[in-house]
Amino acid sequence: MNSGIFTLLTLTLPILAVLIIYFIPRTALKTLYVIANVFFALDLLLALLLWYLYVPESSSLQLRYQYAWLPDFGISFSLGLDGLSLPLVLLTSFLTLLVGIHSRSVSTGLKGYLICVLLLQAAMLGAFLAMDALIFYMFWESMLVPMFFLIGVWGSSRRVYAAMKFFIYTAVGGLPLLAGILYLAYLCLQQQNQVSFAITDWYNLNLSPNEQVVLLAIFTFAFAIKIPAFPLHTWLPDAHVEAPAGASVILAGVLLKLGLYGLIRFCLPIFTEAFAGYAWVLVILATLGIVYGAFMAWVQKDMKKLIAYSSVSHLGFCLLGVASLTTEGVNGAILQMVNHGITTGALFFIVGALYERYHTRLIADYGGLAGTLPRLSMFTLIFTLGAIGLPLTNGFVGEFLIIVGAFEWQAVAGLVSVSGVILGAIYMLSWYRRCFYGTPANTLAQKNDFVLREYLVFIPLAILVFVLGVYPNLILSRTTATAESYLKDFDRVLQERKMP
Amino acid sequence: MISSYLLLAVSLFAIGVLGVLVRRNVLVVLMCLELMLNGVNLAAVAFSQQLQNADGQVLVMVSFAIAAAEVTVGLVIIVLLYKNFYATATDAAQNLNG
Amino acid sequence: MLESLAMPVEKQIIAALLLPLFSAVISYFAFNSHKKLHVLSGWVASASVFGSFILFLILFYTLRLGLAQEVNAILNSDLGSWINVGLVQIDFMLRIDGLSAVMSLLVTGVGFLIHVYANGYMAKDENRPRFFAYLNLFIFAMLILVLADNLLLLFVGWEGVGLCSYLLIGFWHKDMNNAQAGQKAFVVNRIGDAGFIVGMITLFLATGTLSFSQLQSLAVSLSPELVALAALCLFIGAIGKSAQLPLFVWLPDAMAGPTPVSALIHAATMVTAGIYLICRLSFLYTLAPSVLALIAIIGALTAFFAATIALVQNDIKKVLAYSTISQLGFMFMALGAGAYSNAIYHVITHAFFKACLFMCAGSVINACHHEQDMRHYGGLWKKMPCTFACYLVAVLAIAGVPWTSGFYSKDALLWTVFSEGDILSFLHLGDYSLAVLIYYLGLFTALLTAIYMGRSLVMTFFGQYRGHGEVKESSAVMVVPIAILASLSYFFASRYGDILMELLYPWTRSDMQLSHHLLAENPVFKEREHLSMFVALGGLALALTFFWYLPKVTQAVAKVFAWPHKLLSHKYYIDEIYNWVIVEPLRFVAGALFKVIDRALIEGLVNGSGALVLVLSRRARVLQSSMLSSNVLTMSTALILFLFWLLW
Repeated sequence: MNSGIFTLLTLTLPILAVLIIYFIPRTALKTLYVIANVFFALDLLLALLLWYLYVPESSSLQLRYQYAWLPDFGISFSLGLDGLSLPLVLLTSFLTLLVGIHSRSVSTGLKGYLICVLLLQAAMLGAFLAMDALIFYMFWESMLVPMFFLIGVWGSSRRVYAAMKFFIYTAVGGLPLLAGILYLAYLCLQQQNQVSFAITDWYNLNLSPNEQVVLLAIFTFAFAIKIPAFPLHTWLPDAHVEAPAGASVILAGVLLKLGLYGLIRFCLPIFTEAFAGYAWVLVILATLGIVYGAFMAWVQKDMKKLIAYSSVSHLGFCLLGVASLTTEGVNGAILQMVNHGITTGALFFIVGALYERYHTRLIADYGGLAGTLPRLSMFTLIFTLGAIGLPLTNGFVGEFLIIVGAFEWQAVAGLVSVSGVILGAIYMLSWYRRCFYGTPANTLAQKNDFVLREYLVFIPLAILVFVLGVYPNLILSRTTATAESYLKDFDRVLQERKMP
Repeated sequence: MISSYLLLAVSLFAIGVLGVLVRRNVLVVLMCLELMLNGVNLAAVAFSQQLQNADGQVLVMVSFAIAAAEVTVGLVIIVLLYKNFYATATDAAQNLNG
Repeated sequence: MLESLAMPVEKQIIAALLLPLFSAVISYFAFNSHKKLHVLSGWVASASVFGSFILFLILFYTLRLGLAQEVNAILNSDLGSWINVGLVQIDFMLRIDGLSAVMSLLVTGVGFLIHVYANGYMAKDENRPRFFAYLNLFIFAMLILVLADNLLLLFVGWEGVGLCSYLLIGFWHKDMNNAQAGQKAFVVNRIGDAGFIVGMITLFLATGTLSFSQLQSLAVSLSPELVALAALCLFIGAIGKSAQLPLFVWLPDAMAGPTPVSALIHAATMVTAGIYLICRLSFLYTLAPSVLALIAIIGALTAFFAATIALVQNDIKKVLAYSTISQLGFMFMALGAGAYSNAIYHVITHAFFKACLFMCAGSVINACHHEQDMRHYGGLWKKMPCTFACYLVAVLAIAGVPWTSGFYSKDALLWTVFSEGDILSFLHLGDYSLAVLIYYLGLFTALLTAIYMGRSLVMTFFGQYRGHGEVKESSAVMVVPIAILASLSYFFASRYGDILMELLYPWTRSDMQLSHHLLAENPVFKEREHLSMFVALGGLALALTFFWYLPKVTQAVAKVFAWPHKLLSHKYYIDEIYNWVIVEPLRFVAGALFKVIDRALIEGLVNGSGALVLVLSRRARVLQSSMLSSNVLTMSTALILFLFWLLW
């Protein structure tokens, strides 16, 4: 309990910040900016503290905080960390701090923007830290509201459509999820004589095969929308294109990871047999997503749509890693989630920086920026190389582990994922060439290269790209034990399946 | 023997229902509502007589009281309706049209 | 004795590896800021590569001392663990044995000379610090490649050199053509890399390790099909990196980069990475003879086709590019015959004379005001005597004129294909074994080599000057490295050939004795040697005849054979074919997928469901009439139905 207080603090700090910011007048821009960033930085420090306090070798939940909220219904406000959520919590607080620093560029309504970002951060952290299914659901659904406002108010031309689409699409997935959660709680009542929404209690449930398959389908549907898995991905390009830069970063960097997080947290341990039986569906969807996302990214004319589709491709890799049910695959997937957050978040910041200067997202309007904006070009190149998985950047290790996992599952899956490596190079380098090489188009006036706030945003990201490339054990040391514990049942189940 | 009373009661009730459904003037609808109530009262008294039980008559007494209250409120509403929409037709107020 | 030197040795290896990296970082960040510091970047870069070279020389001597005691001595250095997940346990482990010592000396030695040369070549370029940063980064990546002790670390260097190649080809990125050439190089390399990854993972999942020493001991226990599959996939990687058929298309376009880049990356070092890979995994390939046969066939075909294309090119750098592809084909031929050490021998001599050739070409290009078309050269032997002398020596070396290094290495190479190609002899075409056929194709290609190199020599340096402007010899900083390389092209094999073979002993098949003195007694060998000499000299003589004495005859012949001439000068239209067959259809498919599936199908469903809700709600609106009577009707109907249900 004494170390669990930090977990609680990490979650409540943004809410406290909202309360404080609410009372600051909306014209005091500097004050708003400073106070928000102070809270973001404090939150990052707390996340680092949690990182430091976490014991890597143990696979059980650590740094727990529990408050019996509605004991008669088995709902307790319980928070906890394990190797899966720890890197993601750190990623969240890191990226939110960068968004906070970047928010200097928001021209109108800074107060509302910061409040939305803070609420979003609280919701995301809550979703990652929650160890009670209903609390998880609460935070899961409450993420949608600030994001809706961020896209709908601070976005660009088709923002209302995109915001509505994002909200309704994700909520449609959420409602069956609620039904599933309630059903599981009811089963808990039946089998353990006590209603409980605590996820750890659900690990011991005995589910009939039919129940497992149906529930797995429901849960996977809800999470697949978020991942975003292949046929359910179309909300992402619109949401990303219309969202402001900071919201895009959070969306790509953190929100998308919640889908995979939910998949690992709920579906792997609770629906083990069904997952083992139907993992092939996920593998197919993942490989389709990798190739499809890459092809889509290749033909896009809008930069943000290109990066959005590249996210579909990258997260297809992560999904493949999880669905391969191997240690390498799952660890690679968790690592790649963090890596993708860093590189794609950085790329969205870059696009935001370009949009700030030139007010267009169409690739055809750009050209020759390497000559006029050398620093920005250098950073973009670093993140592009991270995105295509150049060795010694962060993208490579995750990709390699996932490909190993895919090959362990089946050779064909491995081959398709390797083709994703080629395709990634094609569309990313093609984008880089069209925007940064050649001679500048006539319509591009000379603009300023990076300012201090942009350096503050991009330098940590660039450093992380290389640090995680050379020393991925920074993350992997924390995730290995947890991934093992999630997969330990699968060995037994997969063995049983192989025996006729 | 009781059947003729019941027949009368049912006829009253039926006429009342038809009136509520068909008539266009709200005052007539209110009168038909009273007809329905009277039908039910008659049926209650008839059963009370047949079963030699006072409950039916007690029901009728309570029903009279409630009916009186209801008619009062109903007439007030009709007056207000007339004041706002300048008509006493049942389809005068269409603001809640979907 | 090795143990007592162990500590400094580890640090030496690490220092030699990281020196270029530090220099690259400093060049980029520190020297980029002020124009006055730009000059420093070149010298710091050259000095760091020289420092690496000296360190490697010391390590080389340490290794030789160790080798004197035991045949398989290696020096190791561990930089820490990299990935530790489940099966994947990879460390940053470096090793120096005969092969990597030789390669690292080559990389840093030739690299140093090219750095010095580039100081002169890029003297007027305002982006010098960036150039030297990339060049140093390349040396760093190449060193990782040759020093890696496991396959994954080798892949790190493999992709690293691909990256530096991309950056350096597109260095003058204001011209979109250069950027496209760079992108093409990277993408085609990536296609090869995909094969590399598949081969690597196949080996990994079968043996659980990627370390070379462990793979070597485990390889014999693997099934032959698996070994052949892995060998084939890794060879696909080599095809991409070393520009063989069908993935060679990036190399000619890569000539868009500055000439020092062409010299270093696309002649001496990066393209030889494929050959290094196969030598490194020689234990694997020895177990997969079918793959070796394929390697030899592809090598021979590539050599031949590239030589034919080089015959008609007018851009001097393109001639040298196709020449490189052709010579790499030779090296693969040798690999296919199992002559790993021969291939490395040729790698080294080729590095010398090809780098020399490129640098001479660069010198000429610089002097002739960035003119690259040989039709506008001529008569330069008077105006640029040093360059001419070096170019002449290098041409003699590449043609294989006796007593040049090129002669010894190419001769040994062809000899091994001819005599020891029993590895290939299980395939026969009629009465002739495959080995012999490949030998004759190689010989013919050597003839073509002598012809087109002679042609380039004549067109550039003999006759009358056909260009514009003043031409004078390049500065010393450019000429001295060229001279050093030219002399190495001449002297290296005779002086150091034996030491080289001694170091590469583990990669030499036991029945191959390449010491020339021992071989010279073999009459068959002498016969072949004379044939090679005749081919080399004859080719040069033919070139002189047709392109100097009788140019009009040549032009007439070219007009008669206009159609083959066009085919060759357009490089068999292979770029156009690739574009038409692969790139455009894929792009079309991607566009079609986007329009049909994403926009029409999925969006149709998504937006359609929204529209459906609207349509249904409009219909349902009808129920919401504000009429009192309809509400009452609904209520009473429901009540009656309820009563019925209750009573029945």
